[in-house]
Amino acid sequence: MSFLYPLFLLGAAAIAGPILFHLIRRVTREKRSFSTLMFLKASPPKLTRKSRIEHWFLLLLRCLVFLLLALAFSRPYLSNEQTIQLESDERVRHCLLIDKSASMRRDGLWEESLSKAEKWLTQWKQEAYASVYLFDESIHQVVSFDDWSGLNPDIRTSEILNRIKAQPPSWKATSIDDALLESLNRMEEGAREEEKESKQQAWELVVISDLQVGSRYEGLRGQDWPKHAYVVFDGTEPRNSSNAGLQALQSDWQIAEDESFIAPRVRVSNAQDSDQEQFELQWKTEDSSFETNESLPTYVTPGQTKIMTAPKWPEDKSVNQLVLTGDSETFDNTIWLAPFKPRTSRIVLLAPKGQKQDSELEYYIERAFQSVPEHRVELIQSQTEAWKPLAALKGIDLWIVTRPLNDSVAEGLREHVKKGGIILMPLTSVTMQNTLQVIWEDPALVIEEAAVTDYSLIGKIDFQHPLFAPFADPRFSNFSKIHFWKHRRILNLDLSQEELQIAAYLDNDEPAIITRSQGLGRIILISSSWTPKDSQLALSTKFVPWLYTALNWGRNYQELRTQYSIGEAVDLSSIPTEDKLAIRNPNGEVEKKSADKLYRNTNLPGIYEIEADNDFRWTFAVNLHPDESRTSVLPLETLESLGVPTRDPENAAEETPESREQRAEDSRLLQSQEIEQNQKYWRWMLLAVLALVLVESLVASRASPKQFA
Amino acid sequence: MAEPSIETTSMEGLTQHRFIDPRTLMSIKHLELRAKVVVEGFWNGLHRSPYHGFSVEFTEYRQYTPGDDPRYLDWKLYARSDRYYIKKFEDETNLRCFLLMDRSKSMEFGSKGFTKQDYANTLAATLGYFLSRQGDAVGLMSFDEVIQEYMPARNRPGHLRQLMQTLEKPCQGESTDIKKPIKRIMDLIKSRGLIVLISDFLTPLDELEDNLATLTAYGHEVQVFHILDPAERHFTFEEAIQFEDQETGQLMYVDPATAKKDYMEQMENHLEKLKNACDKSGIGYTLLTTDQPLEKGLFDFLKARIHRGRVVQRKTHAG
Repeated sequence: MSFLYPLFLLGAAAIAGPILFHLIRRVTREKRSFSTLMFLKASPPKLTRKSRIEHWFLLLLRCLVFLLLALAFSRPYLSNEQTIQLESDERVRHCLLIDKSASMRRDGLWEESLSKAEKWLTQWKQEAYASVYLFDESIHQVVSFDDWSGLNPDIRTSEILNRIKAQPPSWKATSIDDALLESLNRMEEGAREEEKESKQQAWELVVISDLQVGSRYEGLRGQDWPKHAYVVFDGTEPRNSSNAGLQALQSDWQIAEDESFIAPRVRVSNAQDSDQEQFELQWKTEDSSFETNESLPTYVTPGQTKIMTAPKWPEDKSVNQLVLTGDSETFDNTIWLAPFKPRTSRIVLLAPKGQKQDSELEYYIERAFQSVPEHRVELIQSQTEAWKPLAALKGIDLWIVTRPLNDSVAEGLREHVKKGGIILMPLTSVTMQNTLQVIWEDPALVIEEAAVTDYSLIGKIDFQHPLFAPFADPRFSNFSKIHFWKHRRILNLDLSQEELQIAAYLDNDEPAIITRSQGLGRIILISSSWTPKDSQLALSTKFVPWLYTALNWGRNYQELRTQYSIGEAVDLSSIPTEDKLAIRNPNGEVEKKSADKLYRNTNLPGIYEIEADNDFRWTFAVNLHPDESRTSVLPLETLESLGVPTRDPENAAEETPESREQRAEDSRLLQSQEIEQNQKYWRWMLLAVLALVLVESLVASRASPKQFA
Repeated sequence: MAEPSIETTSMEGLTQHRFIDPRTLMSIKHLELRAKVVVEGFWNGLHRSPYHGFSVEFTEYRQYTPGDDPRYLDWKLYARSDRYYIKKFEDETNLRCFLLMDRSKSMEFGSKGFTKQDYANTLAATLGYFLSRQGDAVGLMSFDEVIQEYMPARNRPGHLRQLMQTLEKPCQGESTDIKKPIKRIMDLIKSRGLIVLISDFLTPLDELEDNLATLTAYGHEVQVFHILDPAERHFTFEEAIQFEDQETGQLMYVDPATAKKDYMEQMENHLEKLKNACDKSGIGYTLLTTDQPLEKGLFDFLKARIHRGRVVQRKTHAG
């Protein structure tokens, strides 16, 4: 039996109390009325002889109560052999995590990190278990636990330092959460190989980092930390706390109608503890050969951000850097910008000839798909009756069929759809029946005019359907005001087909919009049309957004962008080539990649170029992650509030034999506390005390009601 | 005086179980009823002709001296002895009995669930009822340090009830002073009578003897009932505690373990002294503890009276 707080045992001396009180004849304030005192003499209170102790059982109970209370407060526990053995065999596993994110490029931070790393490594010279990792967005192993034990302790520190020096700070963002959790996982994996003593080990994670606010730490939320693990944050102090950053806003450009003015919109941020406020924006070339005298002054107070339009992009397209001047920390002051490329969409409209304006389908399509500087829409109207010229058209995003097609065109279109095209087909009249039969590959289909008294409304919409998913929000989901004057019924339609979906029904339970996957492509069938004679669809505010939803539905890939962050994957699958691509990074290195893959090596800021054999060229810029510019120091309390068990580096560092002993003592205490926490004998003792008090009360009240009541 | 003949009846003759336990008796609230219960029970116990005897009782002969009323000459004796003798009879007038009740605070003590006062009241009521049933006049005087109530001795309808009501009044006195009421009663009662003094006598006895002697000297017949609680008599306490004097309020820490011996000694002395004083003056003395049946009081009372009637009266009136 051991005690966590043996001093409390002194409280057991309190049992002297009841013994003494039992010995002293009670001088109470109680009175007994008596007829006369004339025959009585006052007796002095006195100790009775030992043999005169009355109520032995009560005395025993009372002494036991005090004894148990003292025992309970001293928190007893039974230390078994295992724990004793482990106490002598106590081990600490160390893990050193060094931040090498872009923010560590700041003046002097990396050098400081190295010296701190050296200090820790020297301190752990005699330790058997340690590992070293570098981290930015992900964790990079320098020395694993196995490597550590494999290295000669005499040269270990210098060897590890050399390995660290070989991996200078990257341009990536900081993920403290990933780093901590991953290193914790690796520690756990390492520990599992050991015997079950892992529970008694101490895991020390030392993080050398600038601990910037922009670090990602949300992943630590809800993490269940092992009791024996703790984190020591050994923060590096930047020589200069000022920092301003410049970031490009994703595809947000200011463009004049005639493209006489093109400029990106950018965000300038200034750190909380910055002492600079005045900055300037200026365009530069890569080799700084071009430098306009034009610069845009701006004023950002510390802790604030400002979104502004950059100066006009110079005519010279080789100018691809926008630089923020006036900031002492330059690592995040440059953004690279690829030349602006508007998005393009090609739509083919197969409409009948010579329609009257204002009443027909094409009129509304032309107005719905208007080109804007950011999005160029090419609307190709074709009255051709042959498939060949149509087949020559490349990169068509949407086919709109509003007239009956002859079989060759219909068949060509059908096969094209199977390869990934999208057809939007309003059933303008029953004459579309033949075309539908061919495209749908079902000769049994019959279209007939539905009998409608007055009008129909849309009755039910499947908002899970991709065509309506953007409208699922109750603010946009009201389609009930659109009247359908006329519509057509499709007979013999096999609704049980798996690839067939009914996106919307009319209120008479007939399908309004039917979609069907056909090969890689899709067909969208509307049982009416958007002309005013058929319905009010074109007049609805939903019409244009819905058309764009249909246009985008076909694109099941992410489009290439001109802006990426460091480390972000570039989806190459939208590139219209089946050959290998060549990607040139800012250093001029070329990497071959197949088109359906993701390109992940966006490790450097700068301009990347993609080239395909079919003259396809795409330029994109990769810039620092915006969070890396937020360099104010993250308060440790934030991490502690997420449950990270932190420890002061001062206490953990510089371990002398005395402090080692102290630590061993502490850990013994910790261990004892843990054992005691598990056993919790004090609870039972308190329960026993309560029971004893109860018995004591009962016995006392029975023994002599007058004396003890 | 009409007096039951009980000479042939002894205390032993009355089996113990026929008496009523005082505790049970005290649970009867009505004092008169209590008295009735005791007296009727007592009558039943004295089933040997309680109404036997004469109302005018012959006591002695005396030689005729000139001036004596010749009506009382015993002619039959003259015929036998040729001498004139006067036949002497007991006073025919009814007995005038005064109950002197101690109503001091000390009488409020009781360890048996009722107080000495209750017991004394019942005793007084019993005597009163008993006497008035025989046609005697009963008066009452209650006292503590002063005289509180005085009711002259009468025997008329309603008097007994009034007496009972007076007895039932709660006692208000503080300490006991027996001298004053004795002095006062000598002023009040001119004719001879029976004086029954009921008290716990928890007071210094210094002048009591003289006062009692004075009473008997006046020709009064005196009977003392000394009422004590068993706890007072034998000091049955065990726990050391503060004792509070009921009369003075004085507090004293007493450990019975050590104080009992002393107490008992002093108590015995006190009793001895009181008994001696009574004996000297020819006063009947009965010590009653409240756990004793009341019938015993009544029995002792009657027994003592008969005995004393023979001894004392002959002593004083012989001649």
